[in-house]
Amino acid sequence: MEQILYFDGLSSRAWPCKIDVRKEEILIQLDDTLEIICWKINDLISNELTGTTLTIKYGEYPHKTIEIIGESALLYYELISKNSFLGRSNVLWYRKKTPIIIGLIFLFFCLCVFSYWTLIPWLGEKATLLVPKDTEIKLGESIAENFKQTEEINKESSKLLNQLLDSLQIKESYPIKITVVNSPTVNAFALPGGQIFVYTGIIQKMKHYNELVALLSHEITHVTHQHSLKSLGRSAATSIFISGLFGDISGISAGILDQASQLKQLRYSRELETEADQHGVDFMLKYKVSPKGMVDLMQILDGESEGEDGFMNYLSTHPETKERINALKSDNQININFKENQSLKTIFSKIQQSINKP
Amino acid sequence: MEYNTWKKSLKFHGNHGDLVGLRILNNILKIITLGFYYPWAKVKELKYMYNETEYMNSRFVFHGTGKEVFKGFIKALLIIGVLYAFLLFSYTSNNPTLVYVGIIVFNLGFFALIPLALHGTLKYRLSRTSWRGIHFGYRGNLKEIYGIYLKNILLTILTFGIYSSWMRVALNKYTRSNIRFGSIQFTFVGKGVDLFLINLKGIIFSILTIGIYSFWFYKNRIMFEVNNTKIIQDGKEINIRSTLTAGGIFKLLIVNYLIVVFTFGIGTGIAINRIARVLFQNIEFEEDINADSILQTEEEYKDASGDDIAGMLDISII
Repeated sequence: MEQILYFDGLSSRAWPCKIDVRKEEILIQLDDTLEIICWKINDLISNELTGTTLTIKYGEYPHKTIEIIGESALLYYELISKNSFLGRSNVLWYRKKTPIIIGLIFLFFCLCVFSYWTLIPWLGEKATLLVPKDTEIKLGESIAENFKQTEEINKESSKLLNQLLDSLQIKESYPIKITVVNSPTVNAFALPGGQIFVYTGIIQKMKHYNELVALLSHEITHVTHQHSLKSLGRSAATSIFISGLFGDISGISAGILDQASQLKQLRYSRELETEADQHGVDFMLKYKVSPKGMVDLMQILDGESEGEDGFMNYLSTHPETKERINALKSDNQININFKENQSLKTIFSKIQQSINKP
Repeated sequence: MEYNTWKKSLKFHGNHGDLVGLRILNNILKIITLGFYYPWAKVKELKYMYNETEYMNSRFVFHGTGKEVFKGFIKALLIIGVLYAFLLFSYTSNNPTLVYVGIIVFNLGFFALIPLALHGTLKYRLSRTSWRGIHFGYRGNLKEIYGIYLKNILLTILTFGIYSSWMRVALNKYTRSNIRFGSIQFTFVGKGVDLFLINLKGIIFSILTIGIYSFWFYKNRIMFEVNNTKIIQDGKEINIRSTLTAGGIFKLLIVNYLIVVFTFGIGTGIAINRIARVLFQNIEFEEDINADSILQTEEEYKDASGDDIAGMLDISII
């Protein structure tokens, strides 16, 4: 349906009309009265195209309006745009420009993928560097306090472990505090700011203080390299990015995207573990403890992870222990030997005794 | 045989490709500009939706501009930003009393903003809407709507939410009666007790039928809103009704849900178009208004901040 209507702004009466667009004016001839109205192009308020509807407004409020519906709307729109000072205002400008749209979408898609994989996590990681050290330490302390309330703490061996650390006379940028948890779990972990938790399960399997120092040096690297805070920053940045990109989408698609980002996070976390192993060895050399302990520690972990297949490795936060052992053995420094440290040896056996107490 | 003389004078012409394209471009621009394109994106979508809506062979026009909405957006951002800043401040203070005060002030602040958002949205959105060159308008008074809101919200809290049906009706009555479309007026004749029964029945049956009844509940809520609104032209009342069925709502929502999920949100434009089409094409008018005799009565109004607050509080009004 092709129609051109004139509205005088005073009533809703529609006046069918014909229009003639000239360089400086628009002439409107009303069909019913044959009256001719002249609009100066420079006094137009708007010339706006939405799909196949062109709305031209003129004069003070209440504006006079011309409404053109149909294919000719585009023609009149172009004609008036050419002659007037008004900016272009075509809401659906992309109509019939499919290649441009597809190109833009493709470009944007590439940009998003690039940002998602590299830029955004990187930014998230850098943003965490802005967190003041005090805040990081306080954050770690408050998480540790909550954790301690749900676990059974072995106070005696915690004290001994901190003593062992003191005897190494380490100088690190964070106040390291170790807590031993009574549990058969063969594991240990570090929180931001220096809080380290070690399960009795892993200490029980150790045969030499070297292994214990290896474990601590691995966890201390996590602390000093701010690994947990960096992971936190990366995953927070990624999820903000995703929710910004997709807006309020439903739970299912959000869930799928969440899984994808989990996989990405796991890969990153394995990188951090490898880093902690390598720096752990440096740490041991610095404090004169034989780095072979790191390999022995890995062998304990390897014994624990036997039976897990390759797919589980892909889903694991840690690299496969065999890979870790091979990586460590390829480092020549691993064979450097130090004289036994008697004080460490004594503390280690005290720790073992306190853990094995009924 | 009874012959249906009611008229389906509202039509929606939206085209899926146009709206999906518009939304994709808008979202790309919003992301690139870190959200600052939002006002222009919103205006473009409104212009599109209004233009595709036809009543008695004429389209609606949205006259708002990105600049107006941007100014409102900044004001809304400031107001809501202050609330959030206070909440954040109280959280980091490590003082338990201050944390409680922060939470209370934050929530009260949001509740207090609702009438402002409602008033602002109606005033801005309607004044920027026209049909055949005649502008809509809202003549409500901010003080009056606050009065109604405060009295009703207090009763709602005291009755543990039961009074909310009467509150909704009171707000509807006030706002509808203050809407002008040139010389045409509107009125709302719904009763609180009817809405209460709809809600009561809706909640009980929805639970008993594990949600299946919710589609009838939706239908009843929409019918209550539409069928109780009357158009008054030159002293004559014109009835409106909704012919939406529970089956229709079921189909609309399920298909929309699948579209949105399986296109990862890209197809949301299709879902919006479908809602508008089903909603508008199920509205019937007892008779058509006299389309030629509406007189322009409303003055110009340009403040969009209420509209933007409503957007941020996530309450949809029109």
